[in-house]
Amino acid sequence: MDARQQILDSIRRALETPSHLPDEAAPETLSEAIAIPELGLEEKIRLFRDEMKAVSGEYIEAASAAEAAEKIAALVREAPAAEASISSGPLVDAVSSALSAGGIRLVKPETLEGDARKNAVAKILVGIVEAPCAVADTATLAIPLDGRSMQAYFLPEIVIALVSAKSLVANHFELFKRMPPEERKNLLLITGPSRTADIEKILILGAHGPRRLVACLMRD
Amino acid sequence: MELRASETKQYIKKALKDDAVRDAVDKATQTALAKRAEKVAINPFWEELRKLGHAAKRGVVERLDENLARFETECRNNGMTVHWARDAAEARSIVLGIARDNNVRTVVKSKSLTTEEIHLNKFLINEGIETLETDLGEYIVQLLDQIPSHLTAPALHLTRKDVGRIFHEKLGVEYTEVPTELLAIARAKLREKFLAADMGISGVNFGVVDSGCCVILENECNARLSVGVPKIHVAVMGIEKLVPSFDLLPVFLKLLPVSATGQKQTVYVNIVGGPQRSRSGEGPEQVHVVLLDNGRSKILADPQLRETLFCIRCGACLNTCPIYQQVGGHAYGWVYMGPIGATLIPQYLGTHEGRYAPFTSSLCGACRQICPMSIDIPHHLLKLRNRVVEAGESMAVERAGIAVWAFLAKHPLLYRLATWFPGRFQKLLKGSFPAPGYSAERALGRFDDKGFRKRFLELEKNSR
Repeated sequence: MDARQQILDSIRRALETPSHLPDEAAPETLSEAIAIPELGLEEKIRLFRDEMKAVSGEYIEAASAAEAAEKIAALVREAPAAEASISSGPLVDAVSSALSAGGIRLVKPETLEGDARKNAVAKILVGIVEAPCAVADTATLAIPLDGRSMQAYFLPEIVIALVSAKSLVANHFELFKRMPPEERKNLLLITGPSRTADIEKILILGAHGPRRLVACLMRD
Repeated sequence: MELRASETKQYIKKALKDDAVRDAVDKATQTALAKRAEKVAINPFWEELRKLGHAAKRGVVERLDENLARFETECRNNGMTVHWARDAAEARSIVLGIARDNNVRTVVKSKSLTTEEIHLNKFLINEGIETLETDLGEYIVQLLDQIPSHLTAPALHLTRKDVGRIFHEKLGVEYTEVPTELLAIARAKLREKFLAADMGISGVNFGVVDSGCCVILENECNARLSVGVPKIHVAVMGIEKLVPSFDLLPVFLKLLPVSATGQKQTVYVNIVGGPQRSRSGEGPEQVHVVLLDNGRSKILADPQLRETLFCIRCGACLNTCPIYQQVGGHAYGWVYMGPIGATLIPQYLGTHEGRYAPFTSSLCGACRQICPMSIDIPHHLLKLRNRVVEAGESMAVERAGIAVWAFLAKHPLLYRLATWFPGRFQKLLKGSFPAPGYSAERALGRFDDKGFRKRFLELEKNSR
């Protein structure tokens, strides 16, 4: 008998004995208490900002693409760096020409193949990316693996992520509810810069991924 | 370093004499508990989430056959390959087969207790495949040839000085005990490996039944680098790790990080639902899921103890356990430790090898109180103690003591004499009775002069 059949048979035999666990008033669906709260845009922005800071992320705001490009260029120069890897998507597309005009050399991972791509992105200090959606109550960026290159999201030491205010959702329940089933199946959620506390529980940022994560919230 | 659950008594003795380990464990567990408490306090729905989590796990486990079959179908529809492994040896050979088929020479691994359970690293290394743990704590314990001493904080028993010494000796770098410098050393060494590895191996925190995807939580980005860079990703998953749906996944995404590290959310949540290379030109072109039984279906057969399969491996019960706090994780002699480990050890390893584990508890109930899945650990420990005794695996002295007591209990006159004697004899002694093995560490309490029977009769008389 193959392993699959044997395991399933043994599970079925095991389940012939009904549970001795006490009957519980098990909530069948999500209770009202933890369902999605009605939050206004400003409330979501405030939550997102505060939570981003609480997870040692950084937060900036921009009222327009031009302002975002200006602020991002300043961050890249302060890094200090003259180049950045840049992901794809409407938000980064909106700032990329202004960044180039500002003297930042942009490397698009998609233009490189295989080993050349990961080796190049890993050498560049700054990544400029976008999150199609973000969760306010945990400051989580949600990025579906929809064919875009993901390397600029986790290989650089400094990641600057553009987020549209309109894309903020209240919590993870709302995130998964709103997201098309095909998108949520392959998804990366990022909450703050990478970290470890494996040595004496001392928190150190920048474990194997980014040391800094800057969220740039676009209001328009 | 091979540990054995049957050697627990020796490990405990050794651990109790090691002040450095006790200090390190104490500091780490107290920090984790404080952070958890902070986050629980600001979540008004914590108890609600626990109830939902328990109910969801119960629903999945009590129809595990159907759920696994559905999960398998959904995974296959997503382009993943699903393998079934009855035991550790079968799982190891599946992983080796995938590696051989693809000429894999180097493997990067993210932290996974399931792969620790099947001793995958050593096996692959012995087969000539370089296999590196990449979580910082796991990397440190792998360099020492140890197993993790905590479910979520593998190197919790080591100090920064230990880590400095290990890196100096094993990696040939200059000694430093500055944590940021130690991390920088590990990051540089491992970054090269991530970029060059042929295969990434991970565990799975949650398998989402209705969507056929694997959810992997982490903070360091090492799992992202393990599952998102190499051409092959192998996820080894215990068959109990399922959750029903994306609707309920947030419940677990909230319960696990708070309970484990006091974070509202881990830095990365990797949701893997199929190979990506053909779409994006990067990441895995093959994703394999290895569904591991290795004794889980046997645990399921007990209608009470099956609740231990609800565990989400957060480690909160370890942190709060007065026994774990004193002895650390290695004292349990297996990859699962602490209160939940004490229930799993005899169930996985049998009542002979695991005969001491259910007794490594004060039954204070703190584990049940803190468990995000509300697993009734003390109750299960009692049942397992019973199982050990019924299997004739209890200690000879204990069996003799109970036999004497049972005999006396059936002979009231002898019982009266036997209970009268210690109180009287004690008057001749300055302190309490010497009890071999026990009195070396602490004093045995003094016997009551009157004895229970006399006191009970007095009480009864006075209450009339």
